Formats: sequence, structure tokens, C-alpha cells
Amino acid sequence: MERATISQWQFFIITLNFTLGTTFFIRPGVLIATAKQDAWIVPWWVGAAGLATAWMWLNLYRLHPGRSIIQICTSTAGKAVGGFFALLYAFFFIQITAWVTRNLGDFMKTTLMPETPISVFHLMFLVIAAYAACKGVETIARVNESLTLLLGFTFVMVVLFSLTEWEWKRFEPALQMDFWKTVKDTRSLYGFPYMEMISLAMLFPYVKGNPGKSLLPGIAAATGLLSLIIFFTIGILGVYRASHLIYPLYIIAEELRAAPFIEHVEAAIAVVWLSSLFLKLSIAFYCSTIALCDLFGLKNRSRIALPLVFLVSGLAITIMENNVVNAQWDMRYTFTYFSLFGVVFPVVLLVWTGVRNRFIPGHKEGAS
Amino acid sequence: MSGILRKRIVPLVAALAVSFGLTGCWDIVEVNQLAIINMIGIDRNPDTGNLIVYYQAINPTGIIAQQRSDGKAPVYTFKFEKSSPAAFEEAAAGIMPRKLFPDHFQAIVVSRRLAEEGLLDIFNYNENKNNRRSNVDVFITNSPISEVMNTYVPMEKLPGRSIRSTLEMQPKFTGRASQDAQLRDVLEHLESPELTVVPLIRVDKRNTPNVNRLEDIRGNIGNLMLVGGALFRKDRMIGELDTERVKLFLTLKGESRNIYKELKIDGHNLSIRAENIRVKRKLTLKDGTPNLKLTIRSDLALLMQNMGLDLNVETMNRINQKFEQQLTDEIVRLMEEGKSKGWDLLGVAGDIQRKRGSEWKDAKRDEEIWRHTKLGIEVVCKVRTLGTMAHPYKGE
Repeated sequence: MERATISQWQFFIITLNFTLGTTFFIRPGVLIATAKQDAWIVPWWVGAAGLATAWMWLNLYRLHPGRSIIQICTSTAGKAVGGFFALLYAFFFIQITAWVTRNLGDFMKTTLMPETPISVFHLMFLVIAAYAACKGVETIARVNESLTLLLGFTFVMVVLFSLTEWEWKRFEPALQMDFWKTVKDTRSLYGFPYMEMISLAMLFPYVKGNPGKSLLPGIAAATGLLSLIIFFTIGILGVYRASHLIYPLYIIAEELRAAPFIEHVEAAIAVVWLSSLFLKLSIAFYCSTIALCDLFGLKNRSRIALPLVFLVSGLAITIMENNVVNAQWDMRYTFTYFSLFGVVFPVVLLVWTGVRNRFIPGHKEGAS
Repeated sequence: MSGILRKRIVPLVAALAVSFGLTGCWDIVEVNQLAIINMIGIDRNPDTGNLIVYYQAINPTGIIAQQRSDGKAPVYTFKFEKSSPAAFEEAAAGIMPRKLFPDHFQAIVVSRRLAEEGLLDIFNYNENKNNRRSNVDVFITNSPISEVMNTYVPMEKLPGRSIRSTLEMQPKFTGRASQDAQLRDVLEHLESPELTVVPLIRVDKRNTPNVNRLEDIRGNIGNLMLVGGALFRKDRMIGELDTERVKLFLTLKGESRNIYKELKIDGHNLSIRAENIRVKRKLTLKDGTPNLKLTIRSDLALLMQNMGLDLNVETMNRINQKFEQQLTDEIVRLMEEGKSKGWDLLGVAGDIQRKRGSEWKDAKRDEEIWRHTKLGIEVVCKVRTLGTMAHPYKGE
């Protein structure tokens, strides 16, 4: 395991960027299509569920202090069964990395550079992410810190300049959704991004002090920001248009006109926002790398990182045919599949740990 | 890692990293190889059913020549006819020596007959393109589209920029057009009962496709002009409003804050500009009938008065009352005209759809309920600006 520590603030920023990266690009359109003008409320209840689940992960970590989720699997359930769980987790983290990579590639190909082969984007971003993973978690944390300010500034500027398009009547009639139907139809939001944050359980051991003090506020802040982004998207673009677009936030930037002579600035804005996707990718890639290192007892991360670039690059191409297939998969399976890793396995590990601590004398993980 | 290996691998990795910079070449855009489109015209051939598209491409040397006024053509218009909007780029490649670059076009002009058929296919094609923008101004034309697209205009030599600039002035000075008349505004109302007004233009009949027109001192000749508004319901043009009705429609929608009006008091003419117009709408339901209460407040600026009266409090009151009465009458007339043609010009149906509460349930289902709306109008205005004369000259 890498000898490194990150501060509470750094872990807060990592949580924020990991939750919002790709989410703020992809989710608003889908949520607005489902919950219409009330879509901005949806993140609140899903975020509350996400917080409750994260609290459970923190409890599991409290019973296994200083251990990543991979190490918790093997130390709790043994090398065979625990190793199997750990392998599933490692594959899940790689899969998340591949999804993020593909989202990034799709965005670039669809909006900015349609002639460039998508694999080129994948490889270019992955090589940098691999370099970041080799450098370690402290480097990634520092990059997160420095880029977040720029991201926030760009977002605020875009919103401010787009406010001329704002209309309150786009929120009318408010609070008309069928609550339970909306909960059911938007359940995939619980999977992505909240359940995939189990990846961050790989970073708990590096956090100075209690990781919960930054994980929970990070999730809460990301939820608030996601709700705000959806709120602005509705107010500026309207429900009808936003629900028909894949990247509504990008369209806001594309149609931004700060003054008669300041327009067509979407490429500059998109490049800054791309750094948000990169931050998420680098965190996901790092988590995948150290998951494999922990699982197979490897110390040199670069030996895993380089082959992982090609594995993820290949997976990113084959993971889905196109956005339509992805949207259908997301609607049908994201909630179930992600809950397996975010809820079911952690609950099993919690119960397993509890049973062992209670019935096997002298086996107190928390005291070790 | 041994020294020799390091010596070989480091340059290799560095070369690989540098080569990443070349990947942008796939999407390279050389300005010298682009046909930058300034305005697009769309029509349908009634005989074949095919779409006709006119691309007005900027002539770079013509733009440079513009500074020297040596008469070089600032734009060239290319015409293509195809069955699908997606086929035009390929068709353009067969005749244009440069790559079609529609990213920065300033206006779309659509023929009236095509607008009346519906523009859904064109909207969908446009919204799906990565290099499109929907914050582009849309114009409908009564003139043959070929004439609009084959017209050189004075002052702003690029016709697209010219009509866009003309349009942008209107909300501030005349209220004859709204800033919310762009493609995205029509798109936003594709599923709602709300009506949108898109500027209607025509070209002076004396237009000429020859660049010599730019040397003619008479600015009106062959120019593009704003003549009213095309009324859209969903993707289709359903009617036409003249300039005065457009002003009123936009004022009631809250999209126009200033309008120019002419009043007549005791047979004398007055020119007024109503400024800072605020419209408050209150829709209620009484015995199943919608009641719309409009409260309009405005400041008046007296531009010219020929009443032969001194400017005193009594005169001011008469002007206020006359304006209030005239505006009320015009709104009632607009509503009645709209009803007779099936146009919900006051936007009552849209207001009903945005209402909350079970009492509105039946009203939301009844698409024709807006016709039964009872209208209450209150206009409150005050003359605030008089100009620099204390009293008009009487010549007595």
C-alpha cells in the first residue's frame, strides 16, 4: 500500500469531483425528461439515500480501520471467498473507469471533434490518468484542489451570462410529479453517481483522520450542486428542450452570448469542463489500479497502470454500442447492478464482520 | 532500469507523447479552405416536393474589399435542391470549392409556404448537428426566397448580419420584434399551446443581384425590410400579424418594453413612446370560465404634439386617459380578432397549462376554453418625459 496521506479538505474535493464529474453533463437531461420541471428536487432524496449508504460504508471502515474495501473483503471472508468479492470489486472499479472514459470520448466525438477516432481520446486521457495513478493519491488530490476553483469559476460565469434567458414560468406548474413513480423512474441516479462512490472506499486509508467528516459533506455538497445545475438548466433552456438533449449544459454554453461580440465560446468552456471529467477519470483509474495492487499484493503501481490503460481503452469501446443502448441499460440495470456493490456486498461484509467479532473469540477487527 | 534502457525508452515515450499533439489533425479546420456561411434560405419546390436550400457564403476578398469600397461581392449565394436536409452538405461539396462551414451563420430565412407546411424535419436535423446553434434568428419571408437570397444590402454588406442587426434594434426602440424570436424559442414551444411570433421580412421589388447596387446612394432600393410577424403554433406558421399587432402581442407577452404609438386628441396628432411597460397577468377560474386580468403600467414619453394646447396638468391627464383608452381598445380588438381566427393571442391556454390545483383539471383538458376567457384590462400610465420644450410654438 502506498505511504501517503491526504487531508480532509482534499478528500472533500475528491468526493465532490468524483460525484459531479460526468454526472453534471449526462444526468440533467435524463432527469428533466423524467421529472420535468420538478427534476431539481430529485437529487435531494437520492442524495439522502446516498448519504445513508455512505454512512454504512464508513461503519464498515470503522470496523476495519486502515483497510481499503479490497483488503476488507479478503481479511473478512478469507482468501477464497473474500478474494472473489475483492475480484468483483476490482472489476467493478475498472468498469466504472471504462464508463467514464467512454462518456468522455462520446462527449468529445459528439460535440467538439467529430472526425477524430474515439479511441484517440480514450488513450490520451487514460495515459495521463495512468501517469497520475503512478504519481499517487497525493498528486491527484493536489490536482483536484487546483482545478476545482477554475471549474467553479467557469460554471458561475456561464450561468451568469445565460441568465438573460431565464424564465420563472418554465418551473410552472411546480410540484406536479407523481412522487412514487418519479422515485421509481429516477432510481438509476442512486446507482450512478452515488453507488459508484464505493470506489472512494479505496482511498479511506489515506485520509488523515475520519474520512466520514469529508465524505458525507462532499456527497451533500455534490447533491446540492447537481440540484442547482438542473435548476439552472430548466430555468435557462426550459423543460422541453433540455429533455431532448444529451448534453443540455453544453448547449447552454454553446448558445451563450455574453455580448454581441462574445459568442461561440463553447470550445473554451468545454475544455475547462473536460478537466472535471479528467479528474473523475484519474480518481477512478487510481482506485482501479490500487484495487488490483491490493488484491494481488503488488507494490509497483506502474506495472498495473500501463496494461490497465489498454484494458480500459478496449473496454470503453465495447462496453456499449452507443448512447441509446447505454440509456436503456442505465434505465433497466444501473440501480440493481450498482446496488450489488454499493449496498449488498457491504451489508454482507458488515454482517460477516459482526458475526465473527461476536462468535469467534479474540477476533476483533476494530481493535487490530 | 539500466542507463542504456533509460536512454532508449525516455526518447521513445517523449516521441509518443509529442505525437499525441498531432491527433487534432483529424479535425483540423483551415480558414482558407472554408466556405463560411452567413445566411441560409430554405424553401420547398412545389413541383418535386424537394427542399431547396440557399447558402450565402462570405467572400473573404469581398470583405477585405469592403473597406476600400471597390465593389467586390461580399457574398455568393449557392442553391441546392435535395429531398432531405441531410443531403445538402454532400451536394455543396460538388460545386463549392471550399468546405461548407455553417457554424457561424447569422440568420435562417424560410419561405412562407414552407413555414405553413411545418418545419419539424428541419428543426430536428438542425438540433441534431454538433455544429449547429439554435440561438440564431429565424425570418419568414413573403417574397420569393430566391429574391431574398440574391439581394445585396447597403450599410452592413453581409445580408445575414444586416437583418440580424435590424432585428436586434427593435426590442429597444420600436417593439416591432422580440429578442425571443430565435430558433430555440420556436423549439421550446413545440409541445405547448403558446404562440410564437417570428419576424416577417420582404425584399424591395427593385432588388438586384448585382454588386453595383452597393454603389447606389438610394438605401431603400432592393433592401430587406421588416414588415410584421409570422405567427407560429408548434412548428407551423398559422397566420400573419401586421407591425402594430406584433407590438401589442409582444407587449402583452412581456417581450417588448417600449412601443411607439400615435394618438389623436380633438383631431390633433400626438406621437408617444410608451417606455418601461410592465404587464401583470392574473388568471382565475370562475364558474368554469377563465378570467384574465391584465394590469399594464407604463411611462410615456411625448415625442411630438400638435394639439395647439399648452402643456399643463390637464393636458397631461387627457394624454394619459387617451393612451389608456386606446391601448385597452386595441387589446380587446386583438383578442376578438384572434378568437375569430382561432388564435390564442393572449396566451390564455398556455397560462392554464401552467396552473396548479385540481380546479384547473377540466380547463386543462379543454383545448378551446381560452375562447371563453373574460378579459379585464387596467392600463395605468403617466407622462414622464416631455422633451426640451415647455410649450409648443403656436405660430399665432
